[in-house]
Amino acid sequence: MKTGIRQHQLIIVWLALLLLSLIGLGGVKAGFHGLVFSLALLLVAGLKIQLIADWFMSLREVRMFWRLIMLGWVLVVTGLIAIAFIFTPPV
Amino acid sequence: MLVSSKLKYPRGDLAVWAFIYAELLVFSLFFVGYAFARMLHPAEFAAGQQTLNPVLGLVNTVFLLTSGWLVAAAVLACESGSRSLALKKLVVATLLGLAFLAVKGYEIGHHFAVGYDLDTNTFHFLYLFMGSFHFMHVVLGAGVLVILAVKVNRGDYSNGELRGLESGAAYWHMVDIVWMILFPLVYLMR
Repeated sequence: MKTGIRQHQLIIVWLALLLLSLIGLGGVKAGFHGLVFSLALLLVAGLKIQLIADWFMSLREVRMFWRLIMLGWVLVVTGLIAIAFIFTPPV
Repeated sequence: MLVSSKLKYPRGDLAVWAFIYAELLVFSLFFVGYAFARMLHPAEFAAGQQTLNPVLGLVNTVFLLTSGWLVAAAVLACESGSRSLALKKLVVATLLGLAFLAVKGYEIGHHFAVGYDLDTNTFHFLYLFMGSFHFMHVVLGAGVLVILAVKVNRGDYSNGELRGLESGAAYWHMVDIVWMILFPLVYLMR
């Protein structure tokens, strides 16, 4: 693939990452909080990590095994965090 | 016979990738530990989060994401032989890394100045510990970026052997990945 196209793809990924980050803080500033909002933020975090891994670290070009390690890490970490949040008593 | 067009191994040195996955594992223990500590002390964590400034966290997110994009673009530029372009991107990426450190340093310093420290309670311990631990990784990563910039400037990657550059870049992206969980977990998830 031509370098120019790949550079443009990186810009699109970067802009998507910025947008996803703004949405998170925007939600907090708009007064969103609680379990559902926290789980949504975890989902967005997982998505951002996959974007970074696939496009910035070029894992999309590599055999599935290496991508699965990253995906597995994301799922386990965000899953355990989600479990802890689900079982946290309301303040 | 079908032959996969995928690379067998990730770009960069495999030892660096093993190091990256080990680092992610260590950070994940802190993240999960934070979440379960919050489960035990919800009121303490809710009050602690009120003392943080999420706007500064977002500013630092923008710094790291932009820096990460520039490093990825620098690798591509180097691959296509645009050495000067790669150098410029790496220099700006390093400066953004330093900007992250300045903001985070201010934040941690302010936290101490208003009277919170590692002994205050579990939330402040974890906030300061995880933040400082990540801070040290950014310091190391910024140092790596400086070395990469020097090597690009010297033309060390002109022969098409980019493994060193790709390894350093992968480390920097790992620092980025950690922040993608650390920021929402500590600042936003209430």
